[in-house]
Amino acid sequence: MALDMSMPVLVVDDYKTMVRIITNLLRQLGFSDIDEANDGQAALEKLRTRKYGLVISDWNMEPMTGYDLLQQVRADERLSHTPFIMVTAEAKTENVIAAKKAGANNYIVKPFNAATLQSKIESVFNN
Amino acid sequence: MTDLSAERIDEIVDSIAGKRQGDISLIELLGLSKLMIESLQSLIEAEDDELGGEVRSIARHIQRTQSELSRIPPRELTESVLPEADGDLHEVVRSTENATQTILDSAERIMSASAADVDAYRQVVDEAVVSIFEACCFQDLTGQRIRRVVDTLNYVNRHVAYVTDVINGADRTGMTMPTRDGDGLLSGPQTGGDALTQTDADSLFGTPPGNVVSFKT
Repeated sequence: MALDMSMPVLVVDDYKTMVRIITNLLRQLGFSDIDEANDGQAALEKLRTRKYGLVISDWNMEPMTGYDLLQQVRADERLSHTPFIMVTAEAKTENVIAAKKAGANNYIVKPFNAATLQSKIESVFNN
Repeated sequence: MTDLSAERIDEIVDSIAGKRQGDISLIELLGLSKLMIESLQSLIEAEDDELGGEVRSIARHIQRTQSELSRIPPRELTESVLPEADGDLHEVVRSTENATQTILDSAERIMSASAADVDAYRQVVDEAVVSIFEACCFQDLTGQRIRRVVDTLNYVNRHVAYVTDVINGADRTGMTMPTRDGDGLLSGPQTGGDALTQTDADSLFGTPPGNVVSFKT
């Protein structure tokens, strides 16, 4: 399965700074089509109007968390196969396990670096 | 005992007070004494009822207060709530300082790089810029930690108000003892031994689930 750098990527985080950081790091990695959403609900609306190749989402957001967004995505037949990486400060064992059970493709613990982001994205598309 | 008329009572009282001369029999004196005791008894009984009622009310209040206070987790504030907030604030200071140092280091690397070799210069700039982006992640985490400290202060405030109400016997109809806000899996940034590293998360996560469809435009 090939990693296509032109695929649209959706970055979801309620901290605008974090959205900018992830967007800029993705651009450094070679991605060019990057959208953003500030919470799970807004992300879900975008996902239902455009086909994204990857979702990178925070967990702790309101009104819809990244975990709830993941569950909604996996429950929607049209979206269920969308690659989904959780990027979050929630760093307890039960969080990682819950995300995996809900269908996340990978899990990045904040703070992270560009190399980790790259390797986790590649891992999703190479497995 | 002889029932004394009001007039006769006055005569006896005046005789005792030396205002009048007259014979007073022992029986009359005893009758007067009995009358006085009976008068005072009803007054004392009334006072007893009122005083007893007050004492019983106070006892009930003390009992309720003890019961309410015993439900408050002992030493919760001093042994977990406040130390956690203290840890969060220390971590905010530490991570802000580290991020600042990283950003300054990156800026200094760019400033000191030679532009004579364009490709080499570009590499220095790219690496420094990425380093700056990574360092800026601190803002998200410090924001979450500070929000958690604010929640802690609000919790302490609610706790103090609740205890004050309990002691003052305020009407607490519909009020419950404050509890810490929790949201299931959400606990925010962890510190030290509690925090999973990326390696730990990778081990737990293992191989990602299958059925990922490649997408090509």
